[in-house]
Amino acid sequence: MKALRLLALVPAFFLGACALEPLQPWDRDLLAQDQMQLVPHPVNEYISEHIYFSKEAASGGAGVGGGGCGCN
Amino acid sequence: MTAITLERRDDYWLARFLAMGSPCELLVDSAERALIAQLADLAFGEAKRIEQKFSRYRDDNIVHRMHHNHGAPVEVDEETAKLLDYADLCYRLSDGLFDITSGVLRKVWKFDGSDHVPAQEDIAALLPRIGWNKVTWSKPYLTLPEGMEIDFGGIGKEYAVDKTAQLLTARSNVSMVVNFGGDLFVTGLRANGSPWRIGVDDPDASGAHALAQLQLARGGVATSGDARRFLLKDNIRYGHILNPTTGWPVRDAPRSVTVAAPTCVEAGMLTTFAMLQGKNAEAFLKEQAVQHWIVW
Amino acid sequence: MQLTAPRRLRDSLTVATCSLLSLDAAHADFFDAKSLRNVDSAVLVYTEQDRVTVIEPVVQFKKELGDGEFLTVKFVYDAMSGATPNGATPTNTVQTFSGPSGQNSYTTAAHKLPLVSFEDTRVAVSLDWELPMSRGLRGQYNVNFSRETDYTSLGASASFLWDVNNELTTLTAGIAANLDQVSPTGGVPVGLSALSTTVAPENDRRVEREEAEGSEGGGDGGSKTKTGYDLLVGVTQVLTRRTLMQLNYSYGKSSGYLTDPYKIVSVINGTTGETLPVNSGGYLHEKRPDTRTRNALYWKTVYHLPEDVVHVSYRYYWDNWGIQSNTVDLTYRLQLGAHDSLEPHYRYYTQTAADFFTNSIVDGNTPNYASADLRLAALHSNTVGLRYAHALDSSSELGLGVDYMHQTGDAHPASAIGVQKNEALFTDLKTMSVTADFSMKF
Repeated sequence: MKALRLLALVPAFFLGACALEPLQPWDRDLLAQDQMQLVPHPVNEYISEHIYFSKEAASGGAGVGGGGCGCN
Repeated sequence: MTAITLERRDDYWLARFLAMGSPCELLVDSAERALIAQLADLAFGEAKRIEQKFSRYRDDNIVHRMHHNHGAPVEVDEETAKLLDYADLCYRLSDGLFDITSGVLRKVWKFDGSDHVPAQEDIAALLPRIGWNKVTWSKPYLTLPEGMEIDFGGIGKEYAVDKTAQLLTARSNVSMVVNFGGDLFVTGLRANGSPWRIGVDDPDASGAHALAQLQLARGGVATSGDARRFLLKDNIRYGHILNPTTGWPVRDAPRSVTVAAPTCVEAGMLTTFAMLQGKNAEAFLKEQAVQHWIVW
Repeated sequence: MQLTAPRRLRDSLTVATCSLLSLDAAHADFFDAKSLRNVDSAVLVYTEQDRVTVIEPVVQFKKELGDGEFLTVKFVYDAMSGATPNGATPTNTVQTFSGPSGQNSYTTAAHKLPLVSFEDTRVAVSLDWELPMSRGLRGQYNVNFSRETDYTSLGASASFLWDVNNELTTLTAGIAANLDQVSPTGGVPVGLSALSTTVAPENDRRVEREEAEGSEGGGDGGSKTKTGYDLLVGVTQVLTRRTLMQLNYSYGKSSGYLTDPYKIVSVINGTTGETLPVNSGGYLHEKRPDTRTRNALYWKTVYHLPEDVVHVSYRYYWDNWGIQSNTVDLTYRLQLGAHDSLEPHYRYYTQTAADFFTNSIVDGNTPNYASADLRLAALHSNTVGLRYAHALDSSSELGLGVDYMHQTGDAHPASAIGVQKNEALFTDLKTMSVTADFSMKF
């Protein structure tokens, strides 16, 4: 099944990442910036996801829970 | 080969050198290499000056003169006098637990992670040589009885951080972090208005894991305690902060205390006082109303 | 040391330190974690061409309670109005429908997509509590509640994040549960029962409600419940100083009343393709299965160029209703000087149709489940947007964004019969969102 094939690629990728040199504390400067966060603008993200949820059949992926509405 | 290395980070310069037995860093919020080279030289110079002035291993400084005057008064300079005044106040504030004459205990206590706890007789033999109350300090004259020693180790590094920061801020008003082995001072907000982000280290995984993150615009941070400097015997862990009145390590002391305060010296002294409080360290720091992190 | 006169110790120490360092006064400025408070807010104005308009303000407060412990409260208010497709297909004649409560019948011109107008407001509140549990492990707990005229939702979730590998890797596991109640205006219709235009609809509905109680069980006739749970496992990995990646797998299951109580399906003559008259059973209430299991694989990369930042994500979704979907989302943050940024944004979305999706039902051939809700049809959409943000100072930012979405499906599917071939069985959706946002740390 297509999904399982995709899933098999993943561990190889992340294991490869673990072999990279460990980051020094000062190398985390960029990662600490707001724009480098996985969700830089949580409220804007909430609004977008709400719009997509009410217009499309698919949902989720980035997190669990959130809240229901009668819009779909 | 130069003693100072300069590295360009993404949005600041980093100077590194060794002084006072610790890796020292100077972070400068500037893109100009020439400026940081200048500031790094100043920082290195000041750190070495203080290191050499108060080192007990040299034979050409005030500490050597203090130790070899056979009980006769020694006239000290202004800077040493201020440090002695400070040590004197800390002795009183701590009811004698902070004592700069307790350095001789290093002769029997070697905190190397082993189980070599010294014998009571050996410790007892040193106790007569300890006690600030036995010293006569009448500015500018210090009278040190024969056999006693003055050890500025408990304030030296933090003092060097604050003095270096003062020297550098007199030369330039760019924002900087002076960090001598984890005792540091932040001089001000960065040019873009943001504070410096300081990670408070977890002693169990030094460098790998931060206990907390502090955003500091201005102020000092100091850490007392070292997970590697201890003794372990019969399942009892002996931390390296010694009670000068008994000669034994403070019981139930935290493994690490970090404090943030307006100056590095004050932060450092508060961490030392907290360690001396043993299991009451948390209560003590809470009552002093300072930002702190304790690892037990 | 005396613990009875505590502050005096520190006061003396501070004064002595100033003296030692020859300072006039010593002060410290911490933006320290304990006083971290955050407010994030935004207002959305959303319009669909010829259809729905929504105004939605959202505001969120976050406060640090202790080291690494945060409380976040979010309020959402939704004012919705406009017209939405009722599920019937356009046909070659005028169509007349009765409103949800039987009154307010409305008419759709020939060849037009039937839309029913509505107006509603929704209020939602959510509470998040994040706290460190042991070294490297954090817990995030959430409860949320929302209410609109005909829909109430209650949910809770717990997520655990575990930092390992020198804090370069975070393992995530989360679980969520929800309990929703649908209380449609006019009661819950029996699935696949015929729409009737007889006045005295309350009587009608009451009969249908009683039937509903008997056959479908549960609910109080006027309302139905829906429950669900979701699970998520994920890995977040710092790859380099500039690169962060996340991979998640999520699974969800909903049970209960999953049907849209307001939507109907046209019944057409198998030869001519014309919709039957309403009194001959021309429209049936839709009916969806009472369980749904969903899966999603989500991959996100954040990459920091010298000045700019790129966010790109891909999601593959599939569920047991036969829907498979691909989503690609790309945002490029262009840094303009120290205070301003521009974020162009593009999103591409596709989905296949649900197994029970049908544009219309052929007379005499009623399936077990059917829905003509175009959101379950095969479709794809493109969204393009642009957001401009300006940092007022080091701790606050204003933003203004515009997004335009165009959703398209198959307007002339092979399954079209007779006159249907002359109609657009999928009507494109064009939406525009304008979002103004403001955030501040204080």
